[in-house]
Amino acid sequence: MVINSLNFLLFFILVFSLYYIPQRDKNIQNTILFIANYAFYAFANWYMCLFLLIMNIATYWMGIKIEKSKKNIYVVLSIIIGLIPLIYYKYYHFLLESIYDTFHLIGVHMHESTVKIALPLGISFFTFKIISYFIEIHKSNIKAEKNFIILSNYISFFPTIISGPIDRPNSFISQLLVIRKFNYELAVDGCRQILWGLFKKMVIADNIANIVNEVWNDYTNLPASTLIWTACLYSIQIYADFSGYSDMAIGVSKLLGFNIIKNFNMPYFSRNMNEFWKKWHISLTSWFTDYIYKPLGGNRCSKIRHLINILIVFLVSGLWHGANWTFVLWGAFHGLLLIISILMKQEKYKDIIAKDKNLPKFTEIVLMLKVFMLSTIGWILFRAATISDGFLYLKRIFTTTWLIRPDIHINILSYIFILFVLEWITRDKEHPLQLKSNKFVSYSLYLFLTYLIIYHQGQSSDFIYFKF
Amino acid sequence: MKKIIIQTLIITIVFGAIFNLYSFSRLHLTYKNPHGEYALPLNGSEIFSAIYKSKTKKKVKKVIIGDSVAEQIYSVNEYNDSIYSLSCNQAITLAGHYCLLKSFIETNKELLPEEIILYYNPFSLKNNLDRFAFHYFLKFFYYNSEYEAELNNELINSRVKKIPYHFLAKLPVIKGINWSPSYSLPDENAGQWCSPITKCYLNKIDSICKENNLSFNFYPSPVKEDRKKELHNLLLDTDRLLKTYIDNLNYRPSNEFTDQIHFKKNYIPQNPLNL
Repeated sequence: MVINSLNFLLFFILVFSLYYIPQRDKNIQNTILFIANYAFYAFANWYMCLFLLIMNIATYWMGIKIEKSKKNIYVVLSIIIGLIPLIYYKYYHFLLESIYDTFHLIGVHMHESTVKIALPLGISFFTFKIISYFIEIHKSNIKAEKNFIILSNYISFFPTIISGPIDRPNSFISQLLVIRKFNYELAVDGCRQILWGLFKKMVIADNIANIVNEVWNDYTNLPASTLIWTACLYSIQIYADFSGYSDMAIGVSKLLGFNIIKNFNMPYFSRNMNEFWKKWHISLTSWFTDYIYKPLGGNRCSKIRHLINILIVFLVSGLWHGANWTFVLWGAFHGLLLIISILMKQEKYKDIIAKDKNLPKFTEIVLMLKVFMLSTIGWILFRAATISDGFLYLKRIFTTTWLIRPDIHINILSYIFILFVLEWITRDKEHPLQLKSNKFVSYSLYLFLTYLIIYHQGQSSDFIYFKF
Repeated sequence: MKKIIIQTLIITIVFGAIFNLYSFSRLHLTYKNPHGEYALPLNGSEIFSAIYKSKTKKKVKKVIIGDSVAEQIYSVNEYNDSIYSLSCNQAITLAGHYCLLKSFIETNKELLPEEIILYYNPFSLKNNLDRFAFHYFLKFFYYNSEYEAELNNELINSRVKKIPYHFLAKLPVIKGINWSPSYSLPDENAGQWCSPITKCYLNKIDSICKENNLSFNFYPSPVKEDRKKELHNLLLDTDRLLKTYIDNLNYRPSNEFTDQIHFKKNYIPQNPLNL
């Protein structure tokens, strides 16, 4: 059940109607949420629902064990047990194929397994929630949750279970411990954020998807100008798709009275790659920083070790995105970019770009374009089905003509223009529809976005990050 | 909480009314696409071109009906003279193609063509109303009173009922937009290659051609070479209407295709039927 579907709307209306009935009893409210979480997950696949329940029960039991015994062995074992299903479901075929390919290279042919394993929805996301829960207990930052329903609501929270954001137990569980009373301002802001997310996903991402897919199906016959234009479109598609989903998930959470971690902060307005990674998939980046980068030593070690830590984090991040060497290469590419940025002692920006100004300086525009182009090169590797496809695509950019005018879709260009203008104007806000203006302007903007969503939506496509 | 519910209801009613009116006018708005044919501003413009052309009086020699591969080869916007294409896509199933053909025959009773060609990809024959049927079939054929006589039967009705929210396709606001729900329907082909809808309407197409003394030919469009093995069950079908079709199955190298079915632009065959 995708968040922008009619089924989800009907489901959510039902949940929302029941959710605020218990005015004082948080246990009833949490139980309603618990049932909703499992109903949502069961809609996709009822027996995976069983798997989710088992993971929740195992996490509950292991969390208590970790708290009782302060020994490292328990937290290590819990993390390994937590990772086993992820590795099995997500990486089993990848590992097998890599082994087959390696043996094939040395002339040994093996019988390839054709067994397909269905990937439980959101496993990459809720596994990371579980791991952070174990680690935070071990660090004594939180107590093990003795209420199974509360813990299960943290792990299986339906708006964010499939594609994040990956919330931390410290901030989320505390919200489950109190009754969520209906908050009008929060709910209205949630509705606005959902509208913005729908615009990004259905108007921008879905319209671009068809063009990108068509070009990638035939890129060996197309000139560089088309390949460059398509690569740029894909950069915008993946941003609109993923941040659109995050906006909808956060908006739905706000309607239920939850404040969820922000996941994107207009990353294409970054001045260097360091800043980019502080604004892209924030919940995942901060997870890797806190649970891999810092335990490895972070930047509080030798220079070489620091750079190696960065590379390790990005390689793991690449692998997290999918069971394919293209993702690992994408991760390595970004790791190298960040290493170069550190070696060049690039500035760590603290303020938003062009603070208190309407327009950026020329140098800032150049920097933003540089970040966009570098990330676009990375997205080419990310999008490619194989490493050789990725390199061939890049090779054709430099070996074929730039002079043939690509198909510029004016309508898509106009949607992208709306996206970037609104995001620029509100770059200090959580989302553009927090723009302060009079009611006429606000409602006209809502009407216009709704018009675009209804009449200019692209052919529906799956959310890109559902695969992860 | 009452405030937000009331505000949401008011916004839904106001926006709903605006968009309903707009959609209603959009459905009656036609415009000329770059090829000079009338179309609605929706996905599947080839269907609207085909519907428009099926209601046009025109003296032609051959009429082609077919799926999107047929449309690639014999474009609905280019073949407008002695070879007249009503090709669009497979989502409307042979039921939709039958409606187009019948409409053309009724419009051109005094100017009947010589030959009707059904040009169809083998994999399209399996279609028994698939996940694209909501937008392409329900909105423009099933819930269109002009085609009620041809489509209101147990075979179609029982299948339509399985499409979630199918009744929404009647509403002008839904007809006037590209939205359709996500769904997948179970296979009801009972191990046969051709779906029940395909078999039924293939016979109807054959019958209407016979009634009007029109020559009817059923040809397969080229298939991707590495999909040859998948056609095993088709080759076992002994239906007389499929005999020539099966005898004429032909294949093209896989690198000529952009996906499992459609040709890359540079590899679209030029008049493979030698019409």
